[in-house]
Amino acid sequence: MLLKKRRPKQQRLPEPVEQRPIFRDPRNFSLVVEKYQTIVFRYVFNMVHDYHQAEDLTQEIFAKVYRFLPSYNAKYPFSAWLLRIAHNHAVDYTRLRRLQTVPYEAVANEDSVAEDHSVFVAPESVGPDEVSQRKFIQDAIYALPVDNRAVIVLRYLEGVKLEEIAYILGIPLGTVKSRINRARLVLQRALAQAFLERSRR
Amino acid sequence: MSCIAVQNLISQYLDGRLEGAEAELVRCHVRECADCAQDFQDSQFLSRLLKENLDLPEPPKDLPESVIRTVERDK
Ligand SMILES: [Zn+2]
Repeated sequence: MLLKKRRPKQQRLPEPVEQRPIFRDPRNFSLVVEKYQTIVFRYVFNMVHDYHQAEDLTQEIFAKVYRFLPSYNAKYPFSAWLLRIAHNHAVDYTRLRRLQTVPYEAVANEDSVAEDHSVFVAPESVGPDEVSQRKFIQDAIYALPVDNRAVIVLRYLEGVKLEEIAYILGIPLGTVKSRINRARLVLQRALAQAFLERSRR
Repeated sequence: MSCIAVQNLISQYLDGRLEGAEAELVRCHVRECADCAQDFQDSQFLSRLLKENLDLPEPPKDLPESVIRTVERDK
């Protein structure tokens, strides 16, 4: 690798080990999947908000990653490269789904499927009030357009650096910042509204 | 330290992933810079909000196997 540049100290991965020829063997590639499945699955889940769909998409994403592995150039951390592929794949899927059947509002508010899944049963220690507050906040987050939700999730949930977010989403750094600000405002307004309405009841 | 460098480090700071000297740089900058102080506050609030309220399901146990099956089939 001739183009290897010095990378900043806060590097999640020391070297692009994932690119080693050994991982061209599918059996070894499963180690790569094991290492990154949680971050990819979680990201995709937050984009589509449907457990089974996230499962299918994550599988397809890793199959793509396997095919594209030789083109990874280590300019960004491997996790960022993965998330870029994941984001594009998830966005293609949501666009297609929107075009095919579901009107936009339905996509934004669709959460009935996820609730059926046993993963989402609230712990018993959580009272009914906390459950509905949680639901309120989730609704506000999932009502954000996918592009805005993506920046919020990457920045505040996964703690990804701004430059890496720009790379993952394929947009300029300035757009990342303005999108974060806009999403933050929308979310804060929605939450303030929600809490106001609740306190009136 | 530039504002962007600080803002890049804020989430790591909040997660306790920064070493002493770097953490101190972030703290100092945030004390002096209104923009970064605002970003720090927002980050603190939103990180907690997301981590405490979003469902963060684990991927299915057999995911790696399923991927390998797909990859081998497509070969
Ligand atoms: Zn600053």
